[in-house]
Amino acid sequence: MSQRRERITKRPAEVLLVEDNEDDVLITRRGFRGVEFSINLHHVPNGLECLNFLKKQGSYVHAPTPDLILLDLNMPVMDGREALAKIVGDEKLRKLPVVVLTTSSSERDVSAMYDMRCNSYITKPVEFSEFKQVLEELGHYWFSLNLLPEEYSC
Amino acid sequence: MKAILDTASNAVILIDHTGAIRYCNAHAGKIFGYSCDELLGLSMDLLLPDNLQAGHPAQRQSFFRDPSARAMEARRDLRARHKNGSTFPVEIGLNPLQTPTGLMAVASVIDISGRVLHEQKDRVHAERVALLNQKFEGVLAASPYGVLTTNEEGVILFANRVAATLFGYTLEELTGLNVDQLLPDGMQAGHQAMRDAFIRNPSMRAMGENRDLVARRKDGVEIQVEVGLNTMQTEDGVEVLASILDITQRVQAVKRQERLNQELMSSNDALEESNLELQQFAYVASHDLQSPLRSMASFAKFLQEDYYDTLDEEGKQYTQRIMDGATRMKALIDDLLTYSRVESRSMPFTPVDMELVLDEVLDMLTISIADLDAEITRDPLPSILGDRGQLTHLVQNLISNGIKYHGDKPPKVHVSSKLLNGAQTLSVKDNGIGIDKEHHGKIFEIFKRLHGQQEYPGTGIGLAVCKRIVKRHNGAIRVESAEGQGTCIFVDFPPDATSTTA
Repeated sequence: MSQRRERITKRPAEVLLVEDNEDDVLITRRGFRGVEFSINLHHVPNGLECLNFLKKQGSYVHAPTPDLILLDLNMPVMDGREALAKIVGDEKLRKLPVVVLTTSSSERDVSAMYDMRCNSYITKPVEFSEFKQVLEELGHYWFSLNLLPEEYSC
Repeated sequence: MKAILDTASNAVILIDHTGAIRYCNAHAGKIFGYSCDELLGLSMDLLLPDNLQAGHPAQRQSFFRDPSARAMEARRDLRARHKNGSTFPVEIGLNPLQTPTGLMAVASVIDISGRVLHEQKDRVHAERVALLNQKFEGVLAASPYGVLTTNEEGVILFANRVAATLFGYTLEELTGLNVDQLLPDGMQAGHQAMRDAFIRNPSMRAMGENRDLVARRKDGVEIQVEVGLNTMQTEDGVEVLASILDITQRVQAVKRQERLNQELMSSNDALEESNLELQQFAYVASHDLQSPLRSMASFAKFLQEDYYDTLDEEGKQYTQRIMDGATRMKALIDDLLTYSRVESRSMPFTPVDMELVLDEVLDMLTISIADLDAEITRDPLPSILGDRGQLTHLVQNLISNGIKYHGDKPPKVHVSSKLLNGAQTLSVKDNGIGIDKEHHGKIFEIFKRLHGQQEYPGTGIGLAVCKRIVKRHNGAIRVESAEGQGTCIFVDFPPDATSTTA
């Protein structure tokens, strides 16, 4: 047990969910309910809002720097592909871990997102119990096993 | 006088009323083969062919009774006799001559052997020409082409029967007609100029090369023709020989072929388009259709979890039905995706050891095999050149079906293979409920199901996927089954799919 992991378990992980579908937001919220790690789930409805959140612009001045970004692909205004491109193209934001969480299992999408160095690509299972399991494993990996930098200076 | 006669180029003989030769010139001796001395005093009958000698004295007497200048029997072949016995054609003129010794006949004889020979040659030549003409017309008459000859003005001099039939005229009507009248109205004027140009610069050629040539029948119907032209120099001037072929049917056949090709191409386009649409669908199905499905399934589950106590039995049943519906729809979407991905996610063919494939499949089916107490038996399996993932999918589908459609007895499935003429056939045989013969054609069609969801749940896509996979391997899939007798599905791989190494 490292010191760092103790620190992280004390502080709730900040998770930014970028998702336009209200249903999926509700389902994801519920999926994180009752997991053994504590998180603060933040939500923005598209890629543009995501960038504003990360850059703490506009109404996001007091937004925390997320420990993990869960990025959907198909969204209005700015989709996940463009958002990821902008995140990895930004000197300050490129360190942030981005997990693509989408319904699309299209080969085209998977390879395009890995090309842009997403940290992980996960398809949302239709079955809720499976989905919940995915979120638990995701949290376990990113917040328990994985070492994150002390803090993100964005 | 004698000297003059001796230089004459015809024979001159003087004969008295007894027929004795009283005088002859040098030329007479020459053509008859005698010396002049020999001839003098001789009976001139000896100068006649044997068959005429007997009748001659009577003819001679008639001349002396009524002496007048005459040409002897000019109309028929007159022949004279040479000393050596041969005969030769002659022309003879007779003149009476009063001499001191009495009335004489002066016969002027010309050997016309040369002329006759010449005439004979002419006649033979004429006969030959006539024969040649006859042959020529015979050839033209027998030609499978329509043949016309015209003079320089375009008037038809000769036509064969094919030409008459082709243009819808009788032979008599066609002869004497101007060829221009065999053209559609709009083209007649131009044709005259073309004819003139051809006559001025004749060469053997095909008419209207590289363009559609149209002729008009007597009944006004226009036909497509191909025409070959040639000129012939005749006594009466230049004649044009035209050989005509009705290619209307050929042109139509070509057009029909072109139309068919066009249709085939457009249906290929349509197929490509529909393949593209299927791939488009696969993408939509993998994302857009699943999202609302997840909502349905999830919120029904939340209802069940969070409000279980407040829901009455009916409410619980309804939420369960929503969840079941979502599960079925999920299965449908997944199977459709699989179906569409047989093409879009195919892998290159490699030698695939079907033994290993079967091992893998049995591993995947462990739970359902155990649940149903199924018995799977196997013969040694070959290697097949194919897409490993798809062959696995194929075997898995066939064995799951064999287990699934069982009757009262526990399912038994036997996997086997047979090599016939270098081609492998894979078979999966079960002891299940069987399929009535009338349904055999349907079972490989997508969405075709023979049972309700309650009896045997399914999407009706499994065997359609199998068929698509087999088709991609250039094979064939078929069924042998009868109701209650179990089912055997055969997959026939092509000979070139037989692989010796795996």
